[in-house]
Amino acid sequence: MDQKTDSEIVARILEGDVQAYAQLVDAYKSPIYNLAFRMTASLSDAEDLTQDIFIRAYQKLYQFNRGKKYFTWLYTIGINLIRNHLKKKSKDALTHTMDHFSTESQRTGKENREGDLLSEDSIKRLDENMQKLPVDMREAIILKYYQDMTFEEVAAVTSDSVSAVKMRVYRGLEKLKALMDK
Amino acid sequence: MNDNHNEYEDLITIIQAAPQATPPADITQRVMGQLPEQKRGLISLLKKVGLGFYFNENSDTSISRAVCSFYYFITGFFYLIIGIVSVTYMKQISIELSTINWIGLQPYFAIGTALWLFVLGLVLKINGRSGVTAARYGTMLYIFFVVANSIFIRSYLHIPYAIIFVIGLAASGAFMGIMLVQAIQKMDWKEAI
Repeated sequence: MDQKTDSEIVARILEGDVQAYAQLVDAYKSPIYNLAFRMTASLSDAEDLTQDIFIRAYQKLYQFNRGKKYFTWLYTIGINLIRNHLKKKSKDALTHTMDHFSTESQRTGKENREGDLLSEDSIKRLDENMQKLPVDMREAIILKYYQDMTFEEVAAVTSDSVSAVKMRVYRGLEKLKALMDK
Repeated sequence: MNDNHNEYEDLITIIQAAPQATPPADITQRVMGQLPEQKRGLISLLKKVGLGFYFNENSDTSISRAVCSFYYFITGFFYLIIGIVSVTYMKQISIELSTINWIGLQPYFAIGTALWLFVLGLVLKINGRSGVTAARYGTMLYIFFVVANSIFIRSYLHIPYAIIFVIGLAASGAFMGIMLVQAIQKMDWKEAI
């Protein structure tokens, strides 16, 4: 969905057409759900967080600057809620959720773009090691590579400078690589 | 450091090949079923009266956090000079004027305002994103104080044309406050964390 369409939908909602919000939820539920899932490694947490993020965004819709991109604003709300969630939540049950993810992704996930070249095991190890990264590095890598954002977009979402994001992604990859090579 | 991170190409390939999780089919309905009332707080009210810029965080020409903080210090310094000069010379100008409680307090208010702006400048400089928020609200408080103070002064001054002085005082204080806020808007606040 482009920026103009998002902005028009927001205008309609603010004028009282509450049901129009469903279009925004439909458009962004998948990336937001995936963001929450990659950050928390828990499907149930991702579900709850996705709902919380959209509800919070709705509540704050009056604060949205229609000259800016809606998805960047939504992601910023999402990242803040996820950070708060991760602070509160203890880091137990990682293995359980990761195993759960493997099964779940086979059942519901889209096809592996690299086909048979990448083993399921390497993806599973990657997911486990991602959870060992500090939150700021993890979110930078997820936004950049899982969500396919530009460095500028990641910077806008995380309220960091572009150079800080580049450094964080680089350090994150460095650390992740070390963990994968163990 | 290469922006494309070529040395981690294998790792990036694995990351990008990871399967996407699919959200539950009914999640839109669940969200729609829980939508609360929108929060029409102070921010939306300000936006409605055309003061939305106060909370925007974008600008084409950004300035550094240090420069923005410097603006606060220099404005604070301005008030400090006014405060020191008026503390020193007010009685010499008019003993009668300095005995009026509210008027007599003005030099100290000026010094207090200076200290307040110094604190905001310092918070802005050292405290990242939360400092930006604190500086915004702090500046709002400053504007409110300047305007309220001018109204109080008006009630004590029974001099012809005092209203012009009072309006000038309030307008200049508020103008400086708005300029400080616009400096925050122009600040590259993303470097703040």
